Amino acid sequence: MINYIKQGWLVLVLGLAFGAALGGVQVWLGPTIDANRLNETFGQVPKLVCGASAEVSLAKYRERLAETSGERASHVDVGDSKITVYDAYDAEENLVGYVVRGSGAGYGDTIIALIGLNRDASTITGVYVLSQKETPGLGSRIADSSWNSQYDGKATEPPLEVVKKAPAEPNDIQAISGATISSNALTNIVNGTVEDFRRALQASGSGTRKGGDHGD
Amino acid sequence: MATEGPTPMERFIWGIIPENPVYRQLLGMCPTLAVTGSMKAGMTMAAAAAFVLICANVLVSLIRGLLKPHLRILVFVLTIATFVTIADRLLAAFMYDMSKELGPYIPLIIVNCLIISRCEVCSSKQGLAPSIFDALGQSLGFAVALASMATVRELLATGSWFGIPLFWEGTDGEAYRWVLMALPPGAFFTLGILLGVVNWLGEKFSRKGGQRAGQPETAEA
Repeated sequence: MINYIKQGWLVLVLGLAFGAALGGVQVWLGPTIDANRLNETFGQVPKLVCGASAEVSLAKYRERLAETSGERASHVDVGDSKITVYDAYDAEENLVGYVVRGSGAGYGDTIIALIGLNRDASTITGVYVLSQKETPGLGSRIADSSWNSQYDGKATEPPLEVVKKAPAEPNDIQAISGATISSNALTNIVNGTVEDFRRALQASGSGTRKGGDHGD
Repeated sequence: MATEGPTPMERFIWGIIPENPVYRQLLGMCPTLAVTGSMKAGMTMAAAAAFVLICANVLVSLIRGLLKPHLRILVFVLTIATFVTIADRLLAAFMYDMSKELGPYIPLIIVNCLIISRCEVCSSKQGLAPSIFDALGQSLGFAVALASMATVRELLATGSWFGIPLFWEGTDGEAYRWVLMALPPGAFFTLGILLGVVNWLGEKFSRKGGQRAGQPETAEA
């Protein structure tokens, strides 16, 4: 035993010192990193939901975060799993829509997307890709607004469908040529997430999610 | 512990070209291949690696008298992992976009052989001054190597440098002209060709000037 300590004391001391240092770094930088993540999400809110204000939505989110002691401010239960939903408010603090976070397997890595929905979740108001590792120049175009603005204004029912030619039906999304898998992946994420969220919204009753915490 | 080693200045100079981590020692291949698709990513990686290398070299050099031979690698890895985590958190806090783009490659600096080899070759055997200059030289060498790779790849793939279009204006989604150079095969082609060029130049140089004074020791890793 004594021999082990003689041999290994430096490792133990360094381990403790480094652990303390990392704890300090986390305490120092953790809030900034969280704020970066939130800002990235809420920065997209005005683009995803028509008329929404990033500042008001973020302020409301922070308010609810404080009320619920940080646990479930943005989670909606869907069966066994949870989806992350941010409420979008306009400058007068009226609820104008939702930004739902969806993720799923892409061609490269997991794709994470933000999906903007209107008040009763009947229309998709915008899609933004938060993170993707698709093939540069091909699948990576799912993150370009020139392509993914196709989703804007689509009805959530019936589900969207990816087509390879020019879209004929109102629920058609034209695939990126050479990147059908990526196009399908994002569309499946949008369809699945929207469906889950609509079910959760109906379950919580008549379009108001957290009973009366947003006045009309 | 070697009493006399290469001087700080020698360590510094060697790191840049004669013992360049990428072109001479062939260390740190993972970031060299993975993040040199653009100058911005490459230079952020070079800066993060430099931060870790300098901090690790300084710390290991300070505690080199206490190291037990059979536990030294453990101490190196522990030290490097700590500084890598700090670098990763710093990037996430102050350069969030870059941190997202580099993704797992920042935590992967932990297994960058360049850093552990400098702990082993230099800072666990020499004092503070040579260790710092060694870290500076090697970091600079690494940055030069990443910059050369990234310049070739970014110029050929998108015609831009540091994201500034030089040859043509890329429109949304059509920024890539030669997409292969931005993909992994482009990294291997570029590395192979640049390695060949550096070796060819090195051979030409050493034939002309005869044997160089102060030929560096060969790397041990």
